[in-house]
Amino acid sequence: MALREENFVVLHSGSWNIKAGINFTDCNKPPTLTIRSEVGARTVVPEPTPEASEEETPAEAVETTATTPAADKFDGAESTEIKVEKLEQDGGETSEDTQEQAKEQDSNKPQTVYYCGSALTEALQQHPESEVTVSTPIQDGIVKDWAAMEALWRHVLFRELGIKRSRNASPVLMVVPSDWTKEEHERITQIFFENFNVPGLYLAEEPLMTIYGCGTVSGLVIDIGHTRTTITPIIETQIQRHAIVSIPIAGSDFDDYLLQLLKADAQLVREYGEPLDLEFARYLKESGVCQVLGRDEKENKNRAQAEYNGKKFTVGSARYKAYNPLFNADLVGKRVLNLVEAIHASQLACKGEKRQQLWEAMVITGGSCQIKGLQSRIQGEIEDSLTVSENFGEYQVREVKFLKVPDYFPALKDSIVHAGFLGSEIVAKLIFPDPRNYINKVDYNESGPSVVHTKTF
Amino acid sequence: MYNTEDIMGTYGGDEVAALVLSVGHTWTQVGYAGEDTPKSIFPTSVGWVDSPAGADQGDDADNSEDTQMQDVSQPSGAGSNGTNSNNINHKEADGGDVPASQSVGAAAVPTKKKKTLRGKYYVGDGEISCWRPNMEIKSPMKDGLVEDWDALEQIWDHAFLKRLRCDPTEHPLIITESAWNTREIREKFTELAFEKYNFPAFFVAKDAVMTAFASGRPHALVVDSGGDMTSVVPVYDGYVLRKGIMRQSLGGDVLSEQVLQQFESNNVDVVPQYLIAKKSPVEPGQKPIVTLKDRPATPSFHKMMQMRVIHDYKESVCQVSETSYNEQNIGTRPQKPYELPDGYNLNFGAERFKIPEIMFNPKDFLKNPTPEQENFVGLPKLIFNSAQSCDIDFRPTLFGSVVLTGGNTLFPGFADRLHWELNSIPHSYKVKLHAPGNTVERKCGSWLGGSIMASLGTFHQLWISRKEYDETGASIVNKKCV
Repeated sequence: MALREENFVVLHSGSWNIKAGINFTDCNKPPTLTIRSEVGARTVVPEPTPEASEEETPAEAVETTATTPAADKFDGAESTEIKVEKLEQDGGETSEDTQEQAKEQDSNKPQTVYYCGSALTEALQQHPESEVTVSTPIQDGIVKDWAAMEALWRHVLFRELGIKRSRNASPVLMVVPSDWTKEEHERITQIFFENFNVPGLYLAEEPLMTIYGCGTVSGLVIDIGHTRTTITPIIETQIQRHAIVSIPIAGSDFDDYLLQLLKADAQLVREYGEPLDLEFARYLKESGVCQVLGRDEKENKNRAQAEYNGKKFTVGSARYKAYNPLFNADLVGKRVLNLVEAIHASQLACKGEKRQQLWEAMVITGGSCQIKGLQSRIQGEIEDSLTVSENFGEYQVREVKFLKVPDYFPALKDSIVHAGFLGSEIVAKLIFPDPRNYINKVDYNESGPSVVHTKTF
Repeated sequence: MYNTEDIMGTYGGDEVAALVLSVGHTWTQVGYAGEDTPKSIFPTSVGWVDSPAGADQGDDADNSEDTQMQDVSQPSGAGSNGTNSNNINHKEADGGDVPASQSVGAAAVPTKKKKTLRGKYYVGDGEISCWRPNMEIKSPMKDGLVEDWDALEQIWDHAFLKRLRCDPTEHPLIITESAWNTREIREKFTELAFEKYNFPAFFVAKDAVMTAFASGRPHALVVDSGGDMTSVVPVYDGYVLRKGIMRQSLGGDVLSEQVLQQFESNNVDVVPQYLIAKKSPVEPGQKPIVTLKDRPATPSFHKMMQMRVIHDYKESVCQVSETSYNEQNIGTRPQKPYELPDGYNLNFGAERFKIPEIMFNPKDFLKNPTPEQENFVGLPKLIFNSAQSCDIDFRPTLFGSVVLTGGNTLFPGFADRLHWELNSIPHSYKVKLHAPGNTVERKCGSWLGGSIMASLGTFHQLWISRKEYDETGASIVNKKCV
């Protein structure tokens, strides 16, 4: 059965948010959906009603055994009674509790119910705070809580994108960071085929997708995310694994540092009136008020106007300094390489003759890259550390150049943060039409999860 | 997942990939068997902060964990039986500052007690190249043998728990060792693998044999020139001919020292990047105009960072003359420019040929040799000596299959020059030199061989299984892995 383009799905999971897109007939658009990677968990003791266990068995034939260790029931924020009806409507949206498991389960055993996205906001309003524990399934770029992660994917695929599990015609291109291990890949493959019933799966590495999104095959990807910044050199589609450098300075550190500075700004504290928190700092960082200055640019001495939660106030020079920890990690008390040192470390690990290629094809991406002025500041900082005189070696450079999204994607061309997504959309369009290019159901049934190592990685 | 019904106790796991670990003096490579490149390559150098209480500025969270773990370990007594190792917390992701045995449960007590002297360890390029005022750097390996077991454990921890993030109890492990490794070290490796990490099966392979394997040959004269030494090991039919092992401590590091001496004799100071605050352009050969940062560092750290600059210089600028070094000839070759991190730049002429020439002619080109260095011979002679020490019947095969490996052989013109030199020595053998052009093969030759070896079906009969280790003890390694 040929897969149709409007059903192709790209899924990109990060520590901060999860991006998903469907229907790539027109590549020229940002992700369909971007929600926070947050999952609320609540343990529920189900009422011991006899019909509950019957309704919970999925309508279609179940082909797997219980694979995920945590028996989680996915809930869309309704109470138990309403949930049962909704399940019938949606055609079996339960987690992969198989028939056996539903029967085996003691109806009095507490189960964990997960809430994501808008359902999470509702749940937090409905239930007392002590009952719902909010957590991020991905921390520092690594999946820590597989049950929650699965619930989040489930929410995105079946709730938000509206895919039906029983008639799942949407192959998924899953974008993964370069340092995820073989076991993690296998686990993903297992979850997607057995629990989500996808017709096809392909695992693609994040930095490579970014490079493709910029229309080239070589480059140095600087991914400034939420918890860490990763520098990945890629030469002719080959990721130079030994040269990947990762430093734990990213979005969350900028928030912390900015908050520190804002709290020290007496005028702002007075004008705002309420205690300042991380949400406040983050909002300011992401609004147009904050920006990054170049090395030689002067600050605007005037205070800027801003508004949050209905209150108006002014912001001083703190608004220029949020990203300083990237260049001086001591500001947030971390003894790690700063961005420039990390880039040099990465370059040093690459072969000499390829370095010029990399210096001239740099790309800054990741959630935290969207602040104004970041590229020129980074350019300035790097170039200060490169050669200065006329007489430098053949592998050394004086200037760096940055890549950008090609002009023929007018909606995306100025948002480099979406380059990775664009790259994955293009790859999805190219591979999914032919079943030999991706892991399909036949492959999975024959070889099991380990097929992911041979087929798509 | 292994075949427990097997009476012979042989490990028969077909589905699970083995792990391949190759710890050299300069680089550590780790990955899965069956793959064509290691998943992770990181420097073998380990950084540590020496302090009595394990305290380091600005890392308070880890301090409390450090002292906490020490309390927990006291009651366990002296047994290092790794029963708790199954609870390996391999999901730590705190930027690489994990104190050694914390990740493997409270079981490894003997090493824990020593932690009070060493404090905190740092492994991996991102960590060791980060300036810390009191961090020392050293490599646990010297001359192909393990010198510092604490540091080595750090490397193993980092490789399996941080880089591969795998569960050691599920994968067999194959490691490489130098051809002259001692029985004691081999037994200690075996203990480490089974007691601390609880690998289900283990094997130690000679790196030269693995390199020959990777080049697709059963017989080879393996010439390995790396960071701290150069060795020539004859391999015949998968076995090392011990009589022919020749080695000397002349490798990349000695060459780098010589470069440093060259610069110093011209009054040029090699200033690494971490000290540079601001620099201005200067004319070639002029004194640099530079402002330095106030970052006092330990001598070992400074040396390491200097060596990186020199390493880059060697890679960009140095070259090997195709025939023996001739002053006049070399004088006509084009000069190559290079700029040091502080802005000092120069066009380098003859000097760039003199450095790799040391490998071929240390008597004339090694300046200010130490007493040990006086005895160095040129590489062609070393190779010749090795073959001559073997049985006469093997010599034609060995000369016909010389395999070049190691990062120090990557100088442009090195392989061609060596070939010319070997043919110039009067003998009747036909010399064939195999120098893989692919950098991965050159730098990770022994890893590659291990990867191939461990993925062969027949090899499963040769592993040391957990059962065999339990029955016989660590000495089994000297019977099974000769």
